[in-house]
Amino acid sequence: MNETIKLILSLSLSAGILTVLLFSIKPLIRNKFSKSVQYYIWIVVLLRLVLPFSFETSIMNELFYGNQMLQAAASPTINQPMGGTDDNISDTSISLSIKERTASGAYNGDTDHSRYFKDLFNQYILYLWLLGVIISLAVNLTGYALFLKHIRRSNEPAADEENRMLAALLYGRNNVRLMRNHFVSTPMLIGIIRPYIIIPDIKFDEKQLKNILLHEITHLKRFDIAVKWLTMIVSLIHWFNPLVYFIKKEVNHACELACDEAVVKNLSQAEKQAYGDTLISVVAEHKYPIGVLQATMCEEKKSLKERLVSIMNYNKKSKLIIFFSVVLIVCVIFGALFLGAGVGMGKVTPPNIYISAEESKTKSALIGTYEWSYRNKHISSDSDYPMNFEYGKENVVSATGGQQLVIGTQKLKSDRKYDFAIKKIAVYKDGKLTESESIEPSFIDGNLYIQAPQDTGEYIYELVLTYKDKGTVSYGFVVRVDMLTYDLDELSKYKTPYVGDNSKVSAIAGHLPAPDNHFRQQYISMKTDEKPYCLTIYYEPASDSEDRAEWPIVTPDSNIETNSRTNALVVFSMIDNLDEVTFAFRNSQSGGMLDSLKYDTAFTFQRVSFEKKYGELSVLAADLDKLQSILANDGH
Amino acid sequence: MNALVSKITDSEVAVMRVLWDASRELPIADIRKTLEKTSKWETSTIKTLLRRLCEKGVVSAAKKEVFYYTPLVSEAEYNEYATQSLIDRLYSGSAKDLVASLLGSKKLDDSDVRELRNLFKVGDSDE
Repeated sequence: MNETIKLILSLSLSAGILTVLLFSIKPLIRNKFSKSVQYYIWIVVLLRLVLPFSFETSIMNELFYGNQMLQAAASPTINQPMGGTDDNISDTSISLSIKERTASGAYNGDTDHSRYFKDLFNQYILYLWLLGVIISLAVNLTGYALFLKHIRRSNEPAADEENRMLAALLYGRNNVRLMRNHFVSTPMLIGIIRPYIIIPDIKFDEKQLKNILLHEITHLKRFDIAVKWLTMIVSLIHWFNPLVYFIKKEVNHACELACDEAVVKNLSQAEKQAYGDTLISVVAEHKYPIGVLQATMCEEKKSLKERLVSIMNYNKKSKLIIFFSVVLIVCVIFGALFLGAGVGMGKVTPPNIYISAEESKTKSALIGTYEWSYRNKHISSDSDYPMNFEYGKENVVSATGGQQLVIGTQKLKSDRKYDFAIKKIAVYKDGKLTESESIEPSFIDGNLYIQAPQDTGEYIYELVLTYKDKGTVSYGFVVRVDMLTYDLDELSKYKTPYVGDNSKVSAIAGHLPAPDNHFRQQYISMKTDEKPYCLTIYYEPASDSEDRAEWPIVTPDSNIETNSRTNALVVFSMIDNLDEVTFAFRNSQSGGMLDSLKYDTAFTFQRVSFEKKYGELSVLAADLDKLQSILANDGH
Repeated sequence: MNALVSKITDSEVAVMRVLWDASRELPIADIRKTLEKTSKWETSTIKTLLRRLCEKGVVSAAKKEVFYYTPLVSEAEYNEYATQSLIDRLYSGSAKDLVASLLGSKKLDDSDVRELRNLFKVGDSDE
């Protein structure tokens, strides 16, 4: 199931359980506890429904993600080093589209089609949910907007003395306006940012008006409109949960009771009587007979009756009740936290680490031997030494001598970040341990920074990291310093007999590693009208960073020249009739135009000189292993 | 006026409009003549609409040589009613949940109000 859907469902279920519990204790607390406390409890439920915050150990997380844990724990020993960039255990069934799976015959063995429909359902459930949200959002907002539009059109300003009374009750705060409107049947407060109170356009005496305004101002001061918006958002998100409609009703009712309570708190007996009488007289005001709404009149009466009884019975709560109220609220909050939400687990297996050097792709390490504890479950795995791992392209970092390597557990933002400490760093070259004092590890922002070796060559790094309270993991990866890494399989796809084959030749040029990370390949040009056939490959700085200290490069056997020579070997093996190749470099970016005069450093190589050394070059492309070994031994 | 006014349908309003514009009683022939310009209704359709309006008590029919029809509800009254019922419907739809009102939208009848008044005596229950 989709993670968003899991989250929504878990929030719904979590708050649903809380709601059922609260409804069951409601008879006990209803008349004893303060109405405000009962209101706040429902706000906790609302927050539980929208805030995706949860501990990993919460009930819901266990319910929605717990089985994943078991799957992983069922195979505790993994002898192969685990690599890979994506060993996320969460449902792989989604990632394959159903079409593909149908095509691949994944359902052919099914006697009925339930599995197919289940997958189909899982794939589209997110859209189904979104559709529900959008429809209810549209219905609610258009209804509200139309209501406001028609109300605004028919609003009339209130009389001066009414405004004066409002100002007096607000104690100087005057961001609220008062309006009269003969279409509304009850006084109301509208809006959060620019709130206004609307009263029916009928004659109220001074006492009635004061009581009405007191009620609405209390709503304003308690931010009840914001709670109402929150309630609406909740009911949009959880449109599929029938309990939410009960919660909504309960919140609105509790809101009125709490508001009445706050109003009558400071009133004398006579004033309380007047306040309740005002409620009755507003409801008694028959202005228009409304036939269509008769059905729920009984409910209206019941709710008003409860409010009146609460006003009559209002008394100061004893210390004991206040104490229990606090206990109850704390319990509900803890209950909400304990029930939690399905937010997903941390990895039950050790995290991957990712290594990046500036201007090159981020690579990942292979995981070797590890011990890993996760929520009281202990997994350990033995594997070979990192020295003996088989590293793939994904585990090889190309760097320049002394370049900074950044190592961390986070590749994408969504990856979980772990803090770790180094237990051991060992660097091997040609099977032998090298001096590793020059590594100088440092931590910045949870990432480990180390320096690549100065000398050219291929190094295997063994890194043993300890994760606090979680375990110890050994990793292995390869760093190639100032060495060119060729993807010969890819390159050999473009092997061509003719230098005139523009598309293949540009592809070969593009797939060659740049002789220096500083540069990138941009253009090629060929001379094919007469022999010798020539090819020029142009390089320019990859970014407009600082200029190089030495320019133009004239030193013989500089790293860049050596690497160009190696590239020339590959180019000659891939293009059969090429006689001469030139690698041209410039020290500033070209800005989209090939201006061959600006390339003031160039290295030219002849096919003949290579053939003297290696024999027939064009056959090398057919024997990639041989070419690879020549490149590995001869490159440096 | 009565509650059924709010239940006048759009096509009935079209007929009402003819009567309002004429500001005198009209026979069906005149009504038809006016409506011909804007619609393709048959005489029988107009007859049905007028019959329904009479049933709702918003039009009266007086028999002279033919039936003459008079509106019993003015256009202003009707618009007032339409707006009122629209606002009421919107309010009890979603608007009610987004405003803080003193009371719900439903009116109670006299016996209920009497019952509540009798019940609500602060002094009696307290102290």
